[in-house]
Amino acid sequence: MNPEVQPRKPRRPSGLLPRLSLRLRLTLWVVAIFTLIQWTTGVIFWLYQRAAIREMYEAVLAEKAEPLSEGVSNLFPDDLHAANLNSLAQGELGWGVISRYALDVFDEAGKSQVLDRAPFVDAADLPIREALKTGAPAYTWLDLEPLGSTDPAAHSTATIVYPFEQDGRRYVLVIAASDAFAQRQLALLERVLALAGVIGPLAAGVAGWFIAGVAISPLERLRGFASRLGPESIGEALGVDEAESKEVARLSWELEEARQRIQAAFKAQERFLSNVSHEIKTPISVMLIEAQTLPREGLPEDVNAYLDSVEEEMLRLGRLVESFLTLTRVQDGKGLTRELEYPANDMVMDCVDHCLALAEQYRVRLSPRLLEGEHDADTIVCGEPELLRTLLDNLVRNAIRFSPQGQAVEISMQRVNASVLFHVQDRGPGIPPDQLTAIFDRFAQTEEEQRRGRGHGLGLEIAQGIAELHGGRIIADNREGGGAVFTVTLPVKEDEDDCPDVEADADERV
Amino acid sequence: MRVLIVEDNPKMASSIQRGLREHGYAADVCHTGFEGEDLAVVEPYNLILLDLMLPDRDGVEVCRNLRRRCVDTPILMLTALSGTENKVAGLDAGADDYLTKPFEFDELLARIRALLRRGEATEGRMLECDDLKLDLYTRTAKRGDAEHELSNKEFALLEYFMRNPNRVLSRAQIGESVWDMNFEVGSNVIDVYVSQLRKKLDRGHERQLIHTVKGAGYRFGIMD
Repeated sequence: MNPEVQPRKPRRPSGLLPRLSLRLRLTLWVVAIFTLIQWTTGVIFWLYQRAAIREMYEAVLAEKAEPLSEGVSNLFPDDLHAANLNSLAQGELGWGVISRYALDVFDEAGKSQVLDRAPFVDAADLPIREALKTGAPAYTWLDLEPLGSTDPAAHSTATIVYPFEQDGRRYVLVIAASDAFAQRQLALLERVLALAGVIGPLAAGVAGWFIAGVAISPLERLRGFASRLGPESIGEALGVDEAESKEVARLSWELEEARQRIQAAFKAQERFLSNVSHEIKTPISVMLIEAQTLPREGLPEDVNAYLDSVEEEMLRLGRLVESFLTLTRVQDGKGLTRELEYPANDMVMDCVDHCLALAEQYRVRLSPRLLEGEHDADTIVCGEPELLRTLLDNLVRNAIRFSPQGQAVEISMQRVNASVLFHVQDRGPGIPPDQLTAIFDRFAQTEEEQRRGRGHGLGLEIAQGIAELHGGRIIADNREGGGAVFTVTLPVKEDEDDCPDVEADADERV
Repeated sequence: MRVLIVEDNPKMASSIQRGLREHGYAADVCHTGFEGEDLAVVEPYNLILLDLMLPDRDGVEVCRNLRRRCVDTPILMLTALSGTENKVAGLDAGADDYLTKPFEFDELLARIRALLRRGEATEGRMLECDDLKLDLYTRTAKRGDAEHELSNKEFALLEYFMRNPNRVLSRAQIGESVWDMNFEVGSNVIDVYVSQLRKKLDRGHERQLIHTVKGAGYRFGIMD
């Protein structure tokens, strides 16, 4: 077959990135969106929690600052010892979330008023000025490796700067509270959020994979349908499930309609062939019959010779049309329309019957040798008897044409396991070694063949097409001592099995 | 011998008619299926040539109708279609043979002769020998209670045997009569078919019908 007639396979698009399957892509999208939402929510929640904790600390501190400042006032100025401050603070109950704390008192200049202890915080870090200016407590968070705590979570302190007046002078009370408790809570929250942030997307991935699978499963079905679609399956309708989603149902309908259009085209082509067959063959038949039945007596010899030639050419034309039709049928890709049992021996003898007249015309003998013996003689081939006969006919006719007069065309058979071999051998000129495969091509004729002016070069291509249609093949070779041998191998029907019954859908196709 | 030609193409029909007349047949022509069916029912034809594609109706239908109306005149279908299904449909409908257009006139004559021969032969419908019966119409053999389907050549071979009982038949004679050809000395065709027949007819029976005559050929019949 011509290479340009072959349909070109569409190239799959290729990019730098490997193409991901739709299912994977859908899954990745689900995971990405889910992760984004989950993480954003997590972060917002965490921020909110942190802010809430700070507020809580500040509220506790604010609540404590007022009574404590009064207590501190009572200690002024001489009893402002560290121990007194501590017992003052311990006397104040309800520290709640605050496990450790420290107190200090500064004056406007930032000088600690505690008599027997260095300040635990640098006054420059505190918003003293701000608190004194507004007269309201100011808050700050300090990183005071703090308060002698060994708790690794305690890394910052909530600090309140509370202004008060004493003896006409202004002071600030500073209370620093360790946030260890809050930090532990936050750390726990972070661990929970991190775990959820990993498990969530994974779960979303698994769920997305299944959901995407369900979503694209109709696509798989349609893909399977499209990949099966061919000349032999064009009659199989695509069932459209009404319960399918709207998009899929619409695609199914489109595909089904496309299939019907193709089927209609196939049918039109078949009708066309059938019509051509009839329209061309009828006039040929008429001309042939007229030439053959014309009373010849009394006609000049050259007119008779002319009529002979017309008759011969008409026959040739008829056979050519027939061959084209057979070839079309063999190569239309629809396979066999029916398979019947055909005993291998009968196949050879039917062919001998057909070719006898031609053999006599060429003065060539036919020498068939059949399968014998209990088992082999019953060898049966499954297929289209008409085509199988044409297959052998074509080979034998070829052999006859090439045989020298008086020689025999030998048709022998061999049963090899599940195959039957037919050897058609002649004593003709043989086949040039470089053409052993090319001879099966259309209109491939050797010069010798052209010289003998018979045949039309389709015979071997048809024979090969038929062999392949039946799951077999033909090999051409040269014989020792001159001549060609064509070997046909066909599968044999096994004892138990019936021939596949393809007749049922034959109606569907025609 | 009267032949009816049912063919819609007038040129084709008249050429066939002329050719047949030249070979001594009386041939009538009609161009439509209905006309053909009516003629075939009324007139005693020996053979009908029936085109598959007729303007008014399908040749297959005509054929089926004729058989339904008990017309068992041999029918030879002519068809320009080569699809096997068409042929099979024709044969299933009761046609006896088919010929694809275009055909050689000699081929047509040969088929006609063969059909007419068969028609004559079927007048005595059964051949019998001992407990073997050969139905020439259905082409089946029956030995005792067992019925056997025969392939074309098996049938032809058995018919030849049964028409020539108790005679030594050489391989050359058999080849000539059944296959129209002389097989070479080394050929196993006749032996293969004879053994096929034996397998169907003689196996398991006490009295053998087909006997090998060493160096000469075969003999058919019950040996004393």
